[in-house]
Amino acid sequence: MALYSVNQGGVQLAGDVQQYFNLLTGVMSDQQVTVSNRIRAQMTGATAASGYVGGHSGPPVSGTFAAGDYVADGTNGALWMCTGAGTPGTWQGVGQSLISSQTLGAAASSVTFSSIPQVFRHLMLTVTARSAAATTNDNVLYRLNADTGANYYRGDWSVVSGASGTVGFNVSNATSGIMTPIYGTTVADSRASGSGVIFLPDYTNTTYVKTTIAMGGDIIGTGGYAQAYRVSGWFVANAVTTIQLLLSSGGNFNNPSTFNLYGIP
Amino acid sequence: MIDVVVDCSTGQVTQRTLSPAEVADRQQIATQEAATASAGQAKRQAARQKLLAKAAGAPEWQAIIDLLGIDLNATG
Repeated sequence: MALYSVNQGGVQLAGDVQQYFNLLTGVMSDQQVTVSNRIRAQMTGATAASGYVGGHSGPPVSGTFAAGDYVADGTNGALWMCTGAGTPGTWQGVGQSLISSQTLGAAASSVTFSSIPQVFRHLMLTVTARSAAATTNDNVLYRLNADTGANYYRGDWSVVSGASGTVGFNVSNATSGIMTPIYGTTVADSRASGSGVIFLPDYTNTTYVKTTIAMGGDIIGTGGYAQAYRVSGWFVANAVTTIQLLLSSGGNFNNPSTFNLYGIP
Repeated sequence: MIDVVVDCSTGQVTQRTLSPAEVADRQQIATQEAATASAGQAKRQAARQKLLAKAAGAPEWQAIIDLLGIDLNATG
C-alpha cells in the first residue's frame, strides 16, 4: 500500500514529501508534523484516514483537526480523540488513566494526592490497606482540598459482624467523607486488610457540591467483618484539586497499603 | 505522624511530618468517629428493640423481619 498517492490533477506539496522522507528515514526525528502536512494513515479495512497529531496536556484548545485525529497526553498519561472536526473540534478521552499509584514503604497516617489534573470528567480511587490501629475495623476517610471544616455529610449503609442485616444512618456536619472499612491489628493475620473504591463524578464542576459514592469492606471469614456502601457529600462547589486519605482511628496505614487514583474522561 | 504527599502534576512524592495542630485534628477525628460509631450502634439497637416489640405475638411482623434477614439478637 502506498504511503501516499497523488491523484491526477492533485498537488503534493514539496514540503510534505520532504517531511515524510525526514520522518521515515530518521534524518529529523524531532520534525514537527503540522496540521497542513501531517501524515494520516488508512490501512485496508479502515473506512477513514486517521492521524496522530502530537502531544497536549488535555484535549487541544486551539488548532484545526479532523475526526479521528488523536493526541498523546504525556502529562496525564491519556489519549484524546477528535470526534468532531473543527477548531479545535470536539474531543473525547480514550479509556481511564492511572494518574498516580502509591504503595507505602513505611507506615503513614495519610496519603495526599495534590495538583490533581483538571482534564478528566470523573475521578476513581481504589484503596487496599491495613490499619495499624488496635481495632477490628478501622475506616478510610477522606478530605477534599484540605478542607477540615464541618462541611461533609454521610449516608452509611453497612453490614458489620455482630450487627443485624444492613443498617443505615446519616451523619451531618462531619469533618471528613467516608470510604471503606479496613482491618486493624486486632485481626492478627498480617494479610488481613480491606479494599474499597470511591467514585467522584464531575470533580471539576464549580456550580454544584460534590457527592462521592464508595463501596468496600473487609472479610476473611474470621475475626469479624464489615462491608459498606456509603455516599458522602462535600457541601462546597469548588473543583477538587486535592484528596487526602486518612483513618477514623486517627492512626497509621500499615505498609504496603496501596492507593490508586484514576482519571475517567 | 507522616503524610505522604503526591504531586500529581509532576509525580513527585514527598513525606512531611504533621504539625501539632494536624496531630490534634487527627485525635479529634478519632474521638468524633468513635462517637459516631457509638451513636450508630445505639440507633441500631433502638431499632431492634422496636422490631422486637412489634414481632411479639405478631406473625406478620415476624414474617417481615425474617424476610429482611434481620437478627434481633445481634449486639452490634
